[in-house]
Amino acid sequence: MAMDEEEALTALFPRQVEIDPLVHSLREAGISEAQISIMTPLPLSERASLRLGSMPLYVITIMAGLVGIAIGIFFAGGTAAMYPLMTGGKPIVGAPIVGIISYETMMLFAIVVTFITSVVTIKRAHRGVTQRDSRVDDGYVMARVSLSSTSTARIALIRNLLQRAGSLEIQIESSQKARETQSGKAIAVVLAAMCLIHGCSRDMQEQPSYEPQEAPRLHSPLGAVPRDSRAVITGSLELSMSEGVNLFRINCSHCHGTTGRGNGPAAAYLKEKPADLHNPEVQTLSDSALYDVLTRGKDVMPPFRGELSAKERRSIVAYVKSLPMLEKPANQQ
Amino acid sequence: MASGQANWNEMPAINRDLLAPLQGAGLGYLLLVVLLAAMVAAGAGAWFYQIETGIGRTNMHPPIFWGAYIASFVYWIGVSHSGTFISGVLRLSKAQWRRPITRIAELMTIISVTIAALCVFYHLGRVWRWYYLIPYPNQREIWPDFRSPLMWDATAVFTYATASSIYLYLPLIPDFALARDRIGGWRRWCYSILCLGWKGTQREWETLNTAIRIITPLIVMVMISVHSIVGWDFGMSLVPGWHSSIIAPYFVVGAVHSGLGMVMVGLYFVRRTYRLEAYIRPEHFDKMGKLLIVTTLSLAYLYFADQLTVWYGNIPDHMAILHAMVSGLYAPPFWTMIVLIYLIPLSTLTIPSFRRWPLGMMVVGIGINLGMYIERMLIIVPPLSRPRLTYNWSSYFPSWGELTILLGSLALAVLLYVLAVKFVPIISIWEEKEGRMSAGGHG
Repeated sequence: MAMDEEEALTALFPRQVEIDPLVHSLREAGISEAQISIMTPLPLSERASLRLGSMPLYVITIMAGLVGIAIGIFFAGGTAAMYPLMTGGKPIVGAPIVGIISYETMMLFAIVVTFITSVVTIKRAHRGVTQRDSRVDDGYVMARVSLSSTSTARIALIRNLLQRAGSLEIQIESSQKARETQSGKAIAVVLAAMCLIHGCSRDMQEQPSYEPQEAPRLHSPLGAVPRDSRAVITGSLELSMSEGVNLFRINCSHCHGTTGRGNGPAAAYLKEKPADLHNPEVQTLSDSALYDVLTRGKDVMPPFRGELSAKERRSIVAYVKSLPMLEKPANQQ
Repeated sequence: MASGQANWNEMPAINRDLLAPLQGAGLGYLLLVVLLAAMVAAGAGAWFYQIETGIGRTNMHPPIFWGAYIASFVYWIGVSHSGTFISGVLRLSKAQWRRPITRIAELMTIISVTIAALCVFYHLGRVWRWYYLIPYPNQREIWPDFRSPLMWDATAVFTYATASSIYLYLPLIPDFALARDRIGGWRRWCYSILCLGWKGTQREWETLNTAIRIITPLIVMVMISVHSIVGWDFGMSLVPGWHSSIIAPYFVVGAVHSGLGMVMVGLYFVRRTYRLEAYIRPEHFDKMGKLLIVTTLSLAYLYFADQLTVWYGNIPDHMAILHAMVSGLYAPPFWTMIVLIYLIPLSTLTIPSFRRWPLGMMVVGIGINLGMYIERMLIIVPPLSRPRLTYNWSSYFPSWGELTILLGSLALAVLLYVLAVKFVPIISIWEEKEGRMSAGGHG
């Protein structure tokens, strides 16, 4: 708590007052410009070159804009750098997009920071000015002169000057202002808010996704009868090779390539290269092991349990097994 | 201020006139509020029904996956350009006649942006999953698609909404201080907080003027970016009829066109209801009319240039859409639009005496807005309904549910405006005074 002792003269003037001579005479009496506040219903000059200390307001705007650009680049460009996922041959966030998003964040920061600075400046500008006659809005003019030395002679001098300028009413306020530090309050509010935020649901962070190496979810109980044929094949199995070829093209060829060599168009963008299906490591696997990979997925390969029925998966397995045989004649040529 | 002193005596009268709309509410006002509230309730009910039963309640279906909600979003974002354009561009060019119009237009801006945001939520379907739209780090590393213009759109609209709230609020501070001293009740409490303890010292005025001067050009730049990006929502796709490099300026000019039309409607009703003939004079309608001629001609030029290129290129899938609009299924709305947004404004606003006739200008303003709404629908529906493969060509008209929701949101916009008039001085009082004093001062 800082204590300020101060004495101030507040004078109300009629509409026809000339402000400039009054300010001039006050300056001559040794009153600095900072001690004089003239309150009017509209700006007396169109001057709009506010400085905070020695810094023009627009410099703050520009700096905020630069921070905004940096934040835009950090989020948009940072996403591009951290997640180098190529979609359709383009990075997830291209350079023009970083530009567009940074443009918007630049504007956002420039405008919001300018606004906040102005609000704070307005609040500070009338600190100590406690009174304002509502007649000011009717065209009257109010002048407030704050005095640091409170000798009665000086007060009389100023009062005299104000009266000569045509003042209608003059009031003397002597105030002991107790300036409370508001920052303490603000910190308390922010802390309280942070405590509340902690109570928010954390569902989003803890969503039940499948972890690597996690044990498989429970299968259906033994002897349970499936409602459709997604998981279990009932009856005899007739696999058609053409179905396997088609399904392989639709579901597998993006990564594994149309010939199964692991060189599909998407392969270049994958962190882990897809398997070459001609590789003996793959070909020596049993049908059911391949079927299992297809069903549950492996590494970056997604599970096809939901996409393909058991019969369709079997057809693809049969096709994959036949790949070396299909390619042999081509090699011999 | 040396010479304009006689005018300072007018100030009590100006205060009285411009604060009068804030005071009292007649029976007509209350009835209007009740009627609008009922319409809003109907819209809310329809929305609740849609949430409850699913987005299938709309008439959207493949291949038309965007419908009236998105058209309304584009439309309302367009209307929101009214405030920023009038206030921003005219402030920049120091046009004195802007003074009684700025606040009316800025209020429209903020309300339209709100309604536009609401339209996105109507369209979402499973609206309780709205937070999927936000880029936040999560375990599955699912990110919204930054390459999608919808993502840029969200950024731009957020910036615009924030900036235009600030832009509405800044010049309001001295007016709130004035209202604080003269209006009692619960509003006094609000005003005393909102006016930041405004005293009217010269340093406060200079701060305010500086802030407005800095923010004005910035907000004009944001305004242009917003509707450009809304245009790119369409232009970035390869859909015939959307994929056009001219679409961003076309959208911006179209937005200003409908915004100006809407301000005309607002001006007319504010002036008539609150007897503000001394402040909103025929010359204001005249000046607005001239601006509208500029936007009409620019818009017509851009539209013609765009369609001419399509026609001369004669690419079959593009021509399918042009034919559907000019002479096919969509011909009636298409020609209605041409008449409403080009022909009527051009044939009326070019007559000087018409421009000074408030009622006529209001009717033209409504026509323009109706036409621009049809135009938004025509941007969305025909290109979507004529995909390159013809097997699912289709058409679309909004369902009853959609219409009820959208009418409800229109009612909400009007209701918010009608309520705002009772809280915010509808003409910027200090700027009006400043204009009169400086006019007096300089002869």
